[in-house]
Amino acid sequence: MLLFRIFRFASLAFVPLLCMWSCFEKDSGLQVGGGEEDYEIAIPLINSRISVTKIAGVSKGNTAIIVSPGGKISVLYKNNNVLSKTVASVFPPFPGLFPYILNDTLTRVKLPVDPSQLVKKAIFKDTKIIFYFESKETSDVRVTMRIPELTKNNIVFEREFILKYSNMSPMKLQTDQISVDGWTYKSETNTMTFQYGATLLSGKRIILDNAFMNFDILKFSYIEGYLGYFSFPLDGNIIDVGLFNQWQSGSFDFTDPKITISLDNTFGIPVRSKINKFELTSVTGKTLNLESPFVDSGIDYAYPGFNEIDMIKTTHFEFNKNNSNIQDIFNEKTKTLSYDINALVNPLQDTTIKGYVTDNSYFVVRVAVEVPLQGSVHQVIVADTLDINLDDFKKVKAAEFKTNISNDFPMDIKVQAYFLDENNKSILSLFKDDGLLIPAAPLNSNGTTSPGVIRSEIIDFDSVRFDKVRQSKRLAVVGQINTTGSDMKNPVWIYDNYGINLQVGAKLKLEL
Amino acid sequence: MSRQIAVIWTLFMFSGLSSAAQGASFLFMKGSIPGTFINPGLVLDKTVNISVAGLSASFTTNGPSINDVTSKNSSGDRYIDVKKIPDNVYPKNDITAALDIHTLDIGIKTGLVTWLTGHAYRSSANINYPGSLVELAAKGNAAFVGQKVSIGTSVDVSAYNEIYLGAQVKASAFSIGLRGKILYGAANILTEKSSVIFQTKADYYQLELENDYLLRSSGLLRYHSLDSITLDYKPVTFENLFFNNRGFAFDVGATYTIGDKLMISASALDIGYINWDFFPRKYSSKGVFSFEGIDILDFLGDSISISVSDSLLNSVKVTSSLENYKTSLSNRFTFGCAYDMNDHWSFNALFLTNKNFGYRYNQFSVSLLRKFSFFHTGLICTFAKNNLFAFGLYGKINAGPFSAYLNAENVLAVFRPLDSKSGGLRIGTTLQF
Repeated sequence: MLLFRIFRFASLAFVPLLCMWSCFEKDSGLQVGGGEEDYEIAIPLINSRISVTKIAGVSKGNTAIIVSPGGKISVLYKNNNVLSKTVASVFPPFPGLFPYILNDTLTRVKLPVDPSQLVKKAIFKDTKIIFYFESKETSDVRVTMRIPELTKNNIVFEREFILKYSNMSPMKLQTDQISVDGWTYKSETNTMTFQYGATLLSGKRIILDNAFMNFDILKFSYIEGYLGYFSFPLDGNIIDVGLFNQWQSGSFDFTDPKITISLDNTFGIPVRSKINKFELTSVTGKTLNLESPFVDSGIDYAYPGFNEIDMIKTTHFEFNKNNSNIQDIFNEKTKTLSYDINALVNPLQDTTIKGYVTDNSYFVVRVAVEVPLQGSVHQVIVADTLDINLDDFKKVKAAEFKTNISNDFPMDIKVQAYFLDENNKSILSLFKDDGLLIPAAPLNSNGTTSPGVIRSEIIDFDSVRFDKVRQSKRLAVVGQINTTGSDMKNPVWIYDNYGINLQVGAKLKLEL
Repeated sequence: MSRQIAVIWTLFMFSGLSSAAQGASFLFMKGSIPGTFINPGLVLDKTVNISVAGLSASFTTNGPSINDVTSKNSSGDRYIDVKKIPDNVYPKNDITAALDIHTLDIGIKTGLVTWLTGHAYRSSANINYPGSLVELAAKGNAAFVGQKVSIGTSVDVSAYNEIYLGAQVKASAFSIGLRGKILYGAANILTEKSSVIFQTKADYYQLELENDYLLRSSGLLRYHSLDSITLDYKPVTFENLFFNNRGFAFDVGATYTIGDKLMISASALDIGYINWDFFPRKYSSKGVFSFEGIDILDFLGDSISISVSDSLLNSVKVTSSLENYKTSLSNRFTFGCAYDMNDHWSFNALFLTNKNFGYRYNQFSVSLLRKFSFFHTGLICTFAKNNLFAFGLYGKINAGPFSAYLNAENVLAVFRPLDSKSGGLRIGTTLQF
């Protein structure tokens, strides 16, 4: 009975439960989608201050910025190729390949130097000499070897050796390696004299049947004298000047471009650079040669004197508008500078000029193009094309860009950008008419500008325009630049505190 | 065996229902241990009283239901409908959920005193979000250019084991009960400050967050970065039992019987605190953080893609440290009356006020109980600010000393869950002899 009551109640309850479930919304699981209302987000995109200093800082090329104490900017174009030479170029280590025969008790041995060189003084470094003696005598022989040109602390080099008789004939003796490290050689004849005295135990003087001298390697920590004439080439080098790479048309007039050559020299001997070629090639392919009296005569560099051993003497020379035609040819939109220079050691080949080198001696030659940013730019058009990928904007129905721009430079800049399809055909332009004009900052009487005024622009891309933009594959950016007074070629300076402030934000209508 | 099958079948039939339950049905169970859950002064009828596997689950919101803020588009997908927002989303909205598991409760009567002891695992959570956040998510921030929008959301979670010892005394028409509880916190999130002001500036839409946000957590939330937050949540756990995160609370209640039909009651429940000392993490973000666009010169010559969301997230700074802290429990106060019309019909009324994570929630319930020989059934009507009328059902099967009960409120939520703002379910079994 109890069981019946339970099941009766249960079945009664089951019926309304079934009804409840049938009314239940079967799709109560929430998906998320979009409605009819627009979903629009606003985001900042760009906040940049574009200045010459900052561009140079992020540039990956061999470009450096020089800022004068007053803030005026010069751009330095250089390459990593430098000419550097050490003492090994002038006086390379000479290995001892063959022994020197000491024919007599006094033998003069020529130093293995170039005949044009006269070594008057040298200090050995890491050099070891070895002697070999032979005698047919039947008793011990004492040999004293002396080199008068070799001294240390005013003591002449002298060594004593004993040939021991051991019932074998001839007696032979090869000495240990004798270090002459730190010993000083002095001579006026490029020779070393080897004097030996050989005596028996009885005191009788004899001549050895054989005597040789050899050395492992001839190296010096200091060499003084006339060290010869050398010519070291620094040829076939190119410096890329990127200033005009995007130029399309218009004229530049930089006031004072320069080619600089600097040499750091610790050789105590005269060095001169000989200019074989300085060629400037423009973006149009035109090649012009640098002309200057110094191209013909060469440039002499400073060198340290005898009381300035191991000091660095730096010489800085520039080809400028006053001593060359650099201004005229540079403003032909120079793209590259190629040069061929030789560094001449003892250029006059005057044997009376005494010089020196040490084991630390070197010289380094560097070439650069320096462009002070002073001049005028007239109706110059620069252009560049960028690949763009708008796949991330598939859900964007329309967009509105807001730009805030201020310009501290003394130049009008007009910018236009074109969206191109895969055939480089223009689909749409970014700005209306012929582009967005960013006017020059006002120029003060002292040649500097006042900070630019912020100008705001709204660039609207409704759904029709944005659909067109979506098809583009490239963006061609074209800019036209005119410095203040460029029609009269009035030069202006660019200072390091000039910049263009660019802020861009976007409102994007999204399709969810 | 047949009784067991009947009980299980009844439970199964009612298990699909979900609704809000805040204790009104406990008055139906006065005289048994579940009644002491709402008032420890409700005297137990028998000498030995046991309650096993009592489970109570509920949710409620004082904000909009799903249908209040969403619609379906032509594809059948739901979306946040901005047209509905102004009427249905309030400046501040709460979503609250609770889960109580009474594993074992025992009451033994000795003379005038009935001793009470037991264990429960209790957990609750609350999310408080501003209506402006919903508007922002629905429209996008372009609609709020130049405006400051409050989007700070606070999340609070508390889970703990409680072991109690108590007693109730009846003296003539008056009874009083008291439970002292030792608490062991299992998991906690406490949002102490939740101010986040979002602004899209009018200059060129720079994004700015002005934060004064402080969140603490023990045993639950680990912050690595804004887009990497891990939650180590377990529905039931005995971690830290007897070791860490100790606390103390008490319940007190009293009843007074007028004649032999009318009883009035009052109680104060969960008055206490927990000290959180197990890896008590403190995360703070204070200051103004902004994203103003990228510097294109930093990307000259690079082909990497730029993520705006990453840039904004990376600009927000969050500091973390370990610091012990203390939380108060979500206390409750009840005032009720029960009128036994005769052996078959009872009428109850209960006013309950509940402070949950700092938010006060009130409800008033009236209920009617019909007793059959082995089965009790009841109807409950609850009035609350967010849900004017919620109807609940109650059922209890008696099989000698053994009984099982089920209570579900707001049964209309079964038919229209997406319009529902509350729901709850309570089940359990008792043994009395």
